[in-house]
Amino acid sequence: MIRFENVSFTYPDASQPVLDKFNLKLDEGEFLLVVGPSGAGKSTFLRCFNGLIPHYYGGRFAGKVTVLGRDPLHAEPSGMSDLVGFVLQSPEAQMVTDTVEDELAFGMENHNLPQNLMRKRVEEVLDQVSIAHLRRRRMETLSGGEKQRVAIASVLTLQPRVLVLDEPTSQLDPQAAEEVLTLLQKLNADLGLTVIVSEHRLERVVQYADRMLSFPALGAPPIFGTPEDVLGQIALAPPLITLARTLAWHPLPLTIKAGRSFARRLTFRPGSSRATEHIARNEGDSVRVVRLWYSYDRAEALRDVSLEFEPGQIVALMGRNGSGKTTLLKNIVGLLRPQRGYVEVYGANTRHTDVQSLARKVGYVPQNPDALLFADTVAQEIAFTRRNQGLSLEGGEIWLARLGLEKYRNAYPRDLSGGERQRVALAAILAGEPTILLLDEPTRGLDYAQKEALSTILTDLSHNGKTVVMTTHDVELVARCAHRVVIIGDGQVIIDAPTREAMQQSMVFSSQISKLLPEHDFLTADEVLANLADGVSP
Amino acid sequence: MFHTTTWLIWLVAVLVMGLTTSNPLYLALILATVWVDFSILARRSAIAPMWQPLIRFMMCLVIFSTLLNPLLVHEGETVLLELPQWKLLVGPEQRIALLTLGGSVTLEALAYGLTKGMGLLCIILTFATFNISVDSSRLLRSLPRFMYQTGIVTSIAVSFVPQTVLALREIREAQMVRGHRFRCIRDLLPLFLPLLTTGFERALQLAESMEARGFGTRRQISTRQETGYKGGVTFAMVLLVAGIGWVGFGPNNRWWGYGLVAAAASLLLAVFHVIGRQVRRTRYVRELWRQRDTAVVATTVTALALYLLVSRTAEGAIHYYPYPALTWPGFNPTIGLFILALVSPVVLLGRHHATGRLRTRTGSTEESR
Repeated sequence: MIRFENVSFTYPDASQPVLDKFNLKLDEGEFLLVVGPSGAGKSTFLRCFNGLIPHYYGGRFAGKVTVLGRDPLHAEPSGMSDLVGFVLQSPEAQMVTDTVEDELAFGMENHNLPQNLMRKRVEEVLDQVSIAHLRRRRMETLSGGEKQRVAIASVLTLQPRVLVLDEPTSQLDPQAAEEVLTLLQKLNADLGLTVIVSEHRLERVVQYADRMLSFPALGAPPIFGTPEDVLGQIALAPPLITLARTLAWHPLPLTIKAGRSFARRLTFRPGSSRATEHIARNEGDSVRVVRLWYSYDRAEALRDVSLEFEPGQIVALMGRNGSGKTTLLKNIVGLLRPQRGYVEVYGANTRHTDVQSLARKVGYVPQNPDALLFADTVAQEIAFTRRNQGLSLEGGEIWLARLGLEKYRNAYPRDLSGGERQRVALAAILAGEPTILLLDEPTRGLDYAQKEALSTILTDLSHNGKTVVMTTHDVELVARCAHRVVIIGDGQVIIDAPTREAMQQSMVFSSQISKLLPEHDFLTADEVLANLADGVSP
Repeated sequence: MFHTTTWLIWLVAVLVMGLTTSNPLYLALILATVWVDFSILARRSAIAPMWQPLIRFMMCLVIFSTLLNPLLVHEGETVLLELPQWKLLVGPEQRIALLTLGGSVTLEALAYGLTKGMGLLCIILTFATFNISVDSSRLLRSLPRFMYQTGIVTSIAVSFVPQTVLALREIREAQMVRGHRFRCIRDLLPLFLPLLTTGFERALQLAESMEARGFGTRRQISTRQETGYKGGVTFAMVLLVAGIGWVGFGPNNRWWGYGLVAAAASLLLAVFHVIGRQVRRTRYVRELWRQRDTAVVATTVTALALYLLVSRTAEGAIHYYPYPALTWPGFNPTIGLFILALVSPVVLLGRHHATGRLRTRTGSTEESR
C-alpha cells in the first residue's frame, strides 16, 4: 500500500505550496497515470516516492508518505532505491556509464550486491526489456527509444516494487513511445510492478491506467479516481474523449476500439464540410529546396530532397527520430550549407547568404528553447532579437500579448516551466518578424491547453501570409492546423500530400479521429461535431 | 582488447620515455610509434573521432610553439634573420626588459621550440590512445574503493566536455538565427550564459538520477570514527611536510627525512584502506587476463627497464640542448629499438582485432570479460 497523508510541500523561496494537505491511497500493483499542465505539481508528487523531495530539493515538507511500509523521509533517496525505481524525462541526463551492460550494473554495484547475483539480474532484465541485443552497445549509438528502455532497465535491476517515470515518452517519436509504454504495461501486468507515470499525451497511455490523478493547476485540489471518472472532469482531453464527452457516450471509451461501437452509430449530413484547406496565393514559393543532399561524416542525412513551400502554408515534417527533419530545417535557415543541390529563400540561394541576413526572413525555433534564452527577463529576450534585426523596441510588446506572456514580462525565463519557456523562445523569434517560421518539435513538454494556443498562433500567422514549417511527432496538432504533411524516412521524402490525404495513407501518423472514423475523412473532433446529421446522439 | 592494467603499464612506459628525453629524434620515434597505435586502435573505437579535433589543435600548437620560441628567446649562434625589436620595460626608470619580442631569430631557439612542442603532442597522443582503448567503466572498477566516488565524478566531468562542445554549437546557432553577430567579447554573453546554465541543469539531473540509484551509499560511521580518520590524515600530512623539510633543509642525516616521508605514506595508505572498507560497492565483472596481456606487459616493462638502464649509462644520448650552437642530436639504435617496443599492443592484438569493427547494431565484436 502507498499512502500520502496530509502531505504539504513548498519549494525554497516559493510562497505557495505545490502540494497542500494532499492525501492518496494506492494499492500495490496498480498503474497510476498522473496528468496536469506544466508546473501544477506532477514532478513534485513523483519525487516524493523516493524522498528526492525534500532531501534533494530542500523546501518545507509536512505530512507522511509511506511506500510499501517504508518512509522515504527517513530512508532518503539512496535508501529507497531498491524499492522505488525512478526514471527521468530525458534518458541522456541519467546515463552514468558508457555501455548498456555497465549502466544496468551501476545501481547494483552501489548496493554492494554479489557478482553472481548481478550477472543473473542483468540477464533477466535484458530479456524482460527486450534489449539483450544492445548489451554491449555504447550509449551514444542508441536511438531515443532504446535509451529510454535502457534507463528503465537500469532501475529494474534493483528489483524495485514501484516504478516511477516522469514523462518518459515526451522526447520520443510515436513508435519509440509505443515501445516504452508497451513495456510499462507488460511490467505492470506480468511482474505486478506498481507503475506511476506522468504523461502529457493521454491518448498514448490512458488505456493502460487503473487509476488516474490529475493536478489541474497549482493550488487547485487534485482529482483522483478511475480514468473514466477523471477524464469526465478535466478540461482538456484527447480528441476521442472530447468527442465522447460532448456526445455523452457512456461508459467513456478510452481506446479507439472501444469508441468504434459508438462511432458506428453516427450519421453525417450529406456534403459534409471540412476545415478550410490551404489556398495557394499565387505569390510564388517562399522556400525552394532543389535536389538537396547532406551528410554528416559518411552518414547521409538527406538524399535528393526537393520541396517547395508557399506563403500562408503550414507544413508538418514528420518521420522517425534521425530521419533528417532537423537537417532540412537547418539547411533552410542557412546553419548548414547544401553539399549537393541548393535551397532558395525568396529567390536567394542560402549558399551565398549569411545566416544573420537570412534570419531577417527566416525565424528558427530550435528543439531546445534553452539554447536561446540568456537574458534576465522575458521582455529583454524580445528586445534582444528586435535590436539585432534593427527593429523598433516598441513593436515587441505585441508578441508578449499574443503569446500570453505579459504576466511573465519581468520573470527570469529559465524559472518558467518547459511549456512557458517554449513560448518565450517562440516569442523571441517571432519578435524578429520573419516571413518564414521554422519550428523544431514545438510541442515538446506542452500540455493540451498550450498546444491549442500554439495551433491558434500558427493559424493566425498562416492567415497573415507567413510560411510555417514544423517538425513534429504530434499528430493531433498536425490534424488541427497543418495544411500539408511531408513524411521523411531515411533522408528521403516518402509522402508529400495535403494533411487529410497523408493521414489516411499512414497508419502511424494519423489522428485519433481519423482512426476512429476511417471511412470518413475527418481529422478532428470539431469536424465530426460540425457535420453530425441533426445533432444525432447515440 | 587488453586488460586495464596492461594499458596502465603501457601508459606509464610511454610517459616515462616521453618525459625523460629531450632528444628530438627519440621524441619523433615515440610520436610515430604512438601514432601507429592510435590510428590502428581508432578504427575500432566509437570515441576516436572526438579526439581528432584536439589532436589537430595540438599540432597547430606545436607549430605555434616552434615559431613563438625564437621570437621570445634570442640565444644561439646561428642567426637566421633580424626582426624589429619591441621591449616591455619595467622597474625604476623602466630599465628592466621583462619581455623582448623580435630581434635575432636563431636556429637554436627554433629547434628548442620544436622539441618542446613535440613533447607536448606526445603526451596528448598517449592519453588519446589510452582513452580510446580503455572503457571508463573498466578503469573505474580498477580503482581502489576509497577512490571510486572521486573517480566516477571525474569520469562524468570528462564526459561533459564533448557534451558541452555540442551544447556550445547548438547555442551559437540559436543566437545566430536571432541575427546576433559575434564581434567582441561582450557579444559572447548570449553564448556563455545559456551554456553555463544548461550545463548546471544537466549536472543536477544526473546527480538526481545517481542518487535515486543508490550512489553514495555507505555504512553509517560514528563521530568518533570520523574524527579518527580526519586525525589520521592530518597527522600523516604533518609527517610528510616534516619529512620533506628534513630532506631539503635538515641539519644532518637525510635518512631521517626519508623515514618520515615513508611513515606518512604508510599512515595515509592505512587510513584510506580503512575508509575504503566503509564504501559499500561491489564490482560487476572482473576482467580476464589473457596471454597477450602478459606478452604486452613483459615487452613494455622490459623495454622501459632497458631504456632507463641504457639511458643512464649513456646519459648524453637522451638529453639534447640546442644552445649555444645547434648540433645534430645523437641517436643510439638500441634505445630506438626499446622505443619501438611500445607498438607491442597493436602487434599482439592480432589481425582480427587490429582491423576490428566498431560495435554495431547487430552486436559486439569481443567478449571482454
